[in-house]
Amino acid sequence: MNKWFEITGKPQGIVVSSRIRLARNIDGFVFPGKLQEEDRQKLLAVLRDGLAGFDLSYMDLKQMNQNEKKALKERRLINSAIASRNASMGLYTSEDESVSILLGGDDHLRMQCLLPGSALHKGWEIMDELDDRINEHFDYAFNEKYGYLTAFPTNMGTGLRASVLLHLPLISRERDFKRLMEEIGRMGISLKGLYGSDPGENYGSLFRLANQKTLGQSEKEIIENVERFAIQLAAQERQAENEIVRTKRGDVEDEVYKSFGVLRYARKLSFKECMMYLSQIRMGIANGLIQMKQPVNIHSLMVQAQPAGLMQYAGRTLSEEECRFVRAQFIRQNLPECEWK
Amino acid sequence: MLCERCGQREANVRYTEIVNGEVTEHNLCMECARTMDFGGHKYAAALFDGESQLGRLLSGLLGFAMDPAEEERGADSRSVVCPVCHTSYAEFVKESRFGCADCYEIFKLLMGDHIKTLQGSDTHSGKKPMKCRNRVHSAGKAVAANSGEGMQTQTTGAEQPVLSAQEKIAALEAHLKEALREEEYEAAARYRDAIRALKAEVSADE
Repeated sequence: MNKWFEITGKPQGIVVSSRIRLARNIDGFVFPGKLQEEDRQKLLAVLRDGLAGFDLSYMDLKQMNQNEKKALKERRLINSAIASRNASMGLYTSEDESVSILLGGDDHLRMQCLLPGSALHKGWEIMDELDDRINEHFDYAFNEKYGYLTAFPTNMGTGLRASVLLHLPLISRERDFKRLMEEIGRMGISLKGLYGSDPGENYGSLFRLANQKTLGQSEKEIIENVERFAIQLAAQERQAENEIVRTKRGDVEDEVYKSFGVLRYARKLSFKECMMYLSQIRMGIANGLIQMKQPVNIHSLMVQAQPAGLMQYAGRTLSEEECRFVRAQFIRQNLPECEWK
Repeated sequence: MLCERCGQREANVRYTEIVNGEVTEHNLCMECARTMDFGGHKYAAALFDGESQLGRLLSGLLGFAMDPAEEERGADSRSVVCPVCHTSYAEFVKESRFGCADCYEIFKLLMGDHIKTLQGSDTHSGKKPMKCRNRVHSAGKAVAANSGEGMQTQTTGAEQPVLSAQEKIAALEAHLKEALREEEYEAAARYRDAIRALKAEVSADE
């Protein structure tokens, strides 16, 4: 079965994906950071017992090696802090990995839903329902004033982080973009580069827009707020892309086709190069500048071109240098031919 | 070191600002620091960058009012320890991380308005669980009927997870006496206010 990010045939627009994450803790255990290994295992056993009937498969993170955990991180199922931790933790995932629940991370439960495109409301529906189902099995740590109680004060209240991944190849190059990022920050929303925090050093022009505040606003308000900013940024990017295609079509096409040429024939690719060229092609496809002979999901190639994923693809550990060769090979195999124009 | 703003007084407040991963340190004197809007919207945004770093920033916020002299006086509040998970207030401030659900009750008096500064609000609005532990401010009624048998796995192994309001008041009164004896009037005032708030809550409950 395809993973949620591998699906082809849908328009690959500026909003790449949407994510809803909920943090929950159950009654009867201190938060995972304070649990000794023995109690941690008891917690996992209790949680697994409650979640046994759910249609999700379970992974024991403690049994996984560093690279396997990194690959999960690259697919955004866990964060880098969790990936480098050795304590007992568990991860439930749906077959397409769009729904997952991390057990025993910073909170007892962190459930998330990842969907392609702009789908925060859909994601919330799915998470809301999953949350209720889990709640049937466990009493949650909740307080009328502070809402759902979480380990970090930055998650308390709704425990909700709603985020969208945006592909912003043009507006992120503008001089004012950094100031825009800061200004958005002042409105309680964060905009950060997914790979590389500095806009000038961002690989692939992917940016994550998310709510910062979790207390005092309802889930719906939080989601609508993030969505509002996403729509605005996407509209600005759309306008900039239309404008450049209108005024400098030849130059943009040249960049797109050169990127295609490099990816199609290169023998070695750094992650940075690879992301830069894939970003160009994504923009080219979205604006009708280039057509592929077979459907391809560029974001999926971006996800899979990361080191740990490549090592799984190659079936062995790779040095940084080897990784570049394998990356080029992976791209050559998975990037289809384009139509000759 | 002199204050970077006025260049006259000794700098005794270090404020670390992280905006989009860029770390900037400011060394300010107390006077200049007070005139700056750390708690307001202007800088609060920096507090939300990432979860663990943010944690550290929150600790900056909670520890903010403490110049060295005050820090010494504040030693009492720092020694408050959550009876369930043993997180001390000092540890909570340092890590910006609650050790368990009960820490919220234990530390809320000491946190004051900082949660509001951080979150822009101090009261939840939104979804409520169908099932949760009912916390009431009196001993004996603390754990909801639904919690599974033998699930009370605390690091202490103790059974009673919640300090009753009376116990909290007693603890705070002891701190208050201690503070008065040491002539630490600001700390004493904090305890007095906390005790008042608790007592008001108790009478409201009854």
